[in-house]
Amino acid sequence: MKNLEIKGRNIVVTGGTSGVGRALVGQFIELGANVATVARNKDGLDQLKREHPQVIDIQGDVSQVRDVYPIAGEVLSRLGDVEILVNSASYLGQSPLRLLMDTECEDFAKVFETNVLGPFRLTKALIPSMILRRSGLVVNISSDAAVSAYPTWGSYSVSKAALDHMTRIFAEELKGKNIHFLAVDPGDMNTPMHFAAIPEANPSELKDPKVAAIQLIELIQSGSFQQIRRSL
Amino acid sequence: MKPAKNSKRRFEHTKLLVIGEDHESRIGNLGDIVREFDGSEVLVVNCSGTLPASFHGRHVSSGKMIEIRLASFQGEMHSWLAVAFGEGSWKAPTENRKPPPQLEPRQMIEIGHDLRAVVESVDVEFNRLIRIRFESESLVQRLYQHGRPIQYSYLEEDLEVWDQQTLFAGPPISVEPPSAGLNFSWRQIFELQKKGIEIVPIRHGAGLSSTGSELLDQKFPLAEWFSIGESSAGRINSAKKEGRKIFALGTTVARALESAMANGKVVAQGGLTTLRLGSDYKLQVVDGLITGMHEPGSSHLELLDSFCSRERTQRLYALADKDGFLAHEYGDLAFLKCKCA
Repeated sequence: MKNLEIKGRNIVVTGGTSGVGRALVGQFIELGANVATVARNKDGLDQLKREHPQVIDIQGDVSQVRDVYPIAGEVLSRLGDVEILVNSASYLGQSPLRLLMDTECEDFAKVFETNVLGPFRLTKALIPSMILRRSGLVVNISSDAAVSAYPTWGSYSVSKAALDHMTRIFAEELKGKNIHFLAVDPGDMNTPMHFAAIPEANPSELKDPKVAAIQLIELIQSGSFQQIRRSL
Repeated sequence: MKPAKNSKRRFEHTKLLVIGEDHESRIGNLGDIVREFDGSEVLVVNCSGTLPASFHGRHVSSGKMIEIRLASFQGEMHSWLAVAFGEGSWKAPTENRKPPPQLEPRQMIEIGHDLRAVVESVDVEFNRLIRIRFESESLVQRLYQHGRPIQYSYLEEDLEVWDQQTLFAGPPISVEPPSAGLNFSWRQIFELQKKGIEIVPIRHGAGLSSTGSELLDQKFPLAEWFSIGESSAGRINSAKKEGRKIFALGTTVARALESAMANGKVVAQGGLTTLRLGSDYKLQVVDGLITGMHEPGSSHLELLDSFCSRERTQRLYALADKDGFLAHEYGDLAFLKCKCA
């Protein structure tokens, strides 16, 4: 997959109505890709559709097991075989953030449903055609919290560490089949999620999600996938 | 033969009846199937997903409740052949189901406030066999929202959408699972690939298997949609040219491959097929078939006639039955490495 061309590729981005997911949808479309995005928020999808009429908008919640096959069925019907899957939909957990000891089990589970089980189920549902075609890329959007133990980021942090490791295991098990996996930390971005976590953050010190999207696409275009976990 | 009564997958523990090229039979497990290949073969698989294809609604003209089971994909998600049933559920044997109200073209079936089906045409012989057109925005979402998996009364529990998907599930154009693949795992597929076997994808919309009416069932399989891409056709043709064997994982694959044959080659294409495989059909592409155990008298059995004489098939079914094989989509498998001359 050296010098991977984006134009004409079938790409799925989850969480495409906010943050880096939304920026990725815009950038991929600008480069001529066929893009489907999945999000819970109907108003956000409608707004995205107004900006990018060609986007395939799919309302669904990747954290819900019952939504996964309808999402996959709609992607495969309307977009066709997926060549690149970007699992960007994330849930921070309750904000203001709490100590792990104060985190309710139900909220911890909900973070895992979105950040680990969602990408797991959707990857399983969408990569069979990649395996049979012997070509494909799955990008999981991670965080520096997957590596650093920041107090109060507990459930999110643990879920992103699990996502990183899931990415490595998929990559190891599918080694030699020309299916590539990346876990990408896009950096601290000026997004609603970052402000939910750190309300006092200084926007001028945060990365524009569009910049992160461009960096990620450059990484994809480079075809350099040997190192699975990357920071932008 | 007893049916498999639940959707629990047994993977490598699924029983496998192998009929060799010499027409001799042996019994083993799916876990050992890799031994049945010498490494030069091509295994062609059906990459269709299965839509939850049973819809309960109201027949607007009569006000009566009706169930529509999609019977065959016709090339786009709005348009399907379907079979209608009166009010009732899968728990009643299909042969005991009430008939649907009289159906006429242009009648409306209301499935939900956001999903309706219009009867486009009615079969001249069987009023229950209709062509419908769905009317809805966000159609695929609505089909998943209102549809339930088609299932039969030998099962003990409601199926979920995921119970009907094979490893290879792609676009949801099948109405019942292409079930020969249900008990395969990726580990097995990777083992086959490691031995040198090429796994080649095609798509075929598997149709409804049974309606409860023997006469109507005789019309099956209906016209079904299939597609074979350039790459898959090329790989199959190269293998044929090199004298390598082509095995079909499931009867839908056999039907698609034979339908795509022209002038000694598989031609890449997408479209409907009405081809019926049977005792009078000489297989041109497929050298063997992995398939489930199904009801005697079904169109499935007729298709097996092109691989094995009916007398032999019945003897083998009796052998499998004696060995405790289970029938139907979640049951055991046969690998026919033979074909009728």
